[in-house]
Amino acid sequence: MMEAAATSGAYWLRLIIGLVIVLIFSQLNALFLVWLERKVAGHIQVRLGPMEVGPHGLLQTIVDGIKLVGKELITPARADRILFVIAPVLVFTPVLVAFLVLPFGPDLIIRDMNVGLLLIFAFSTFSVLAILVGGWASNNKYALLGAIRSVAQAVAYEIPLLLSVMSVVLMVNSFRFSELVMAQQRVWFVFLQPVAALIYFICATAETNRAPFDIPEAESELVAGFHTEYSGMRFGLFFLAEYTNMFIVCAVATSLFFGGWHGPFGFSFKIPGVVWFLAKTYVLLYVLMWFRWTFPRVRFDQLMNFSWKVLIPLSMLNLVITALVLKLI
Amino acid sequence: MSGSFVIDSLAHAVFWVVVGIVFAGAALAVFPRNIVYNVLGLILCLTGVAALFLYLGSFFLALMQLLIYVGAICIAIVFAIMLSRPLHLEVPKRRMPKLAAGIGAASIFFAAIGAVAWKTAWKPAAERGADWTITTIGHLLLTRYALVFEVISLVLLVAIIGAILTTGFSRRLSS
Amino acid sequence: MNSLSVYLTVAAVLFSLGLFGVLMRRNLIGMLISIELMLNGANLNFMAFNRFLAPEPAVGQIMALFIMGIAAAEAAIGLSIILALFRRLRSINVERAQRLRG
Repeated sequence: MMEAAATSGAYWLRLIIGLVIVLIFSQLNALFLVWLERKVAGHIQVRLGPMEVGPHGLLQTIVDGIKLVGKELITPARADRILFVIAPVLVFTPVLVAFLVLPFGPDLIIRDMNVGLLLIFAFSTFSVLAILVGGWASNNKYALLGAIRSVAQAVAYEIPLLLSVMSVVLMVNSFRFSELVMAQQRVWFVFLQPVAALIYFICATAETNRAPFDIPEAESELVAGFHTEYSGMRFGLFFLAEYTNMFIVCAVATSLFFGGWHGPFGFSFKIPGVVWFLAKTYVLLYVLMWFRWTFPRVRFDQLMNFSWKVLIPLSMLNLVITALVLKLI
Repeated sequence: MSGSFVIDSLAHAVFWVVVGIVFAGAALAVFPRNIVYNVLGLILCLTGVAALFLYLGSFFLALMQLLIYVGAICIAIVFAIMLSRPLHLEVPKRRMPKLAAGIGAASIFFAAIGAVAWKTAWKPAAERGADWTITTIGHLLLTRYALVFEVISLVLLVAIIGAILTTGFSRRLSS
Repeated sequence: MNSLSVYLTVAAVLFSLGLFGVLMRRNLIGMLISIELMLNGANLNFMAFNRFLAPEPAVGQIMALFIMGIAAAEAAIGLSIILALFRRLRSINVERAQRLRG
């Protein structure tokens, strides 16, 4: 694989520019999502949300970020210093890797790898690990409990996530993002595989620790879950990583189920593919935020029961039925 | 081409960094007495091995290593650590005879394997295929190596049932 | 990077370190970790032979996948046995589990 690397200057320039753009985009996106969340929360609760700083409160996140940076970085007395510092950095790595393979547009994939889909899921285990390390390194009972619950939840919901994605991969016969999106030119997969789409979205909510599955970091349980002891910019890093994770998960849902960069039924109305992709992703993100202020929090044992007793059999059944239909038709 | 030379030497340098990561992770997994450091060392080592799989040409296997080993096995080990709380385990002194015997056994083994590895004239097979795609792996798993597939499914099934039974029994016994 | 013996050496070092860990450690989970190191050394060996000597690249990869599956099954059973032992003995020091009678 190493000997097949192209050595032309244009190739490397494109790679580096793509990486820089993606890094900037992920940070801007996280800032925007924090503002969006507060606005959505405000309007659902019949109030306005941030309005003071900038037009309609758009600069609120930046001001909050500056405030966070200025806060004192407290390390608990008997915390494991190295691990405590590593955890927020580790939680960011899968996020940045995943951006390499997302299909923003027909020509806008940085590296269209043969196993691109698998890359995102393989690297998401690092964020799970980072939560565990952060919770343990805090030397705090509540942080540790929150971390253990978060890991149990992530592991339990990862299985139906992968199984539902496998149903789509079976239909397309490829892990490559460009092929997965190209196969949806006429009909989006959400119409062909509604069960898989639903299961994927539920599991994505659980994987990113969003309500109604946000026991590990809820404000009214366990103090603040696994990031109880984190202050200042370290907390900010966990926060940013969570929002970027949300974006990646919704972007994957767009590529797998909602047609990626295609317009409806193949008509793009002369709008470039990247605009369609981002529009669909942000609609899904809005739905994700909508969930938070609509559903009450699920109790932990209900959460685990739901995954192991309902979602896994359902997604396995879906996979078997997909395979049978593909073979017999 | 000078561009190719830069890329090759960069790849070479990164290869030795990855080997260093593997060794550092393995050392962290074996030597310290703190079990949490051991697990984190194992995770570092396994990630390094995944990168080595990438150098050996199989991207798919590198991702599988991350998914299965780091994502499942190591997290299960961390769970077992959290549930059994050995963090306050008593730390008895290392006795010299045991340490010497351990080092002796490991180094004898390493010398033997090393001698076999370096002295043998390894001959590449006459006809070497070039098909590294996962389509081929899947196809072979279902046709020529179907027994491997079935056996591993059976082993995993037995392991799941055994694990459930073992923890179920002990809970009934201790309650 | 392009020679077989480098990979074989790395695999041998991994295996020897794992062997040393199994012999020295008294913590049951520590022994399991060392066993995983040994399995990884073997896996690396298979993949190295697959790259440099094998007639068909898929064979070594299938073998490596098989070993990963076996390691997962063994870790699952091993951890459940360790937890069951912990519930009985309240300790995971292997020297506490010396009586053969249940």
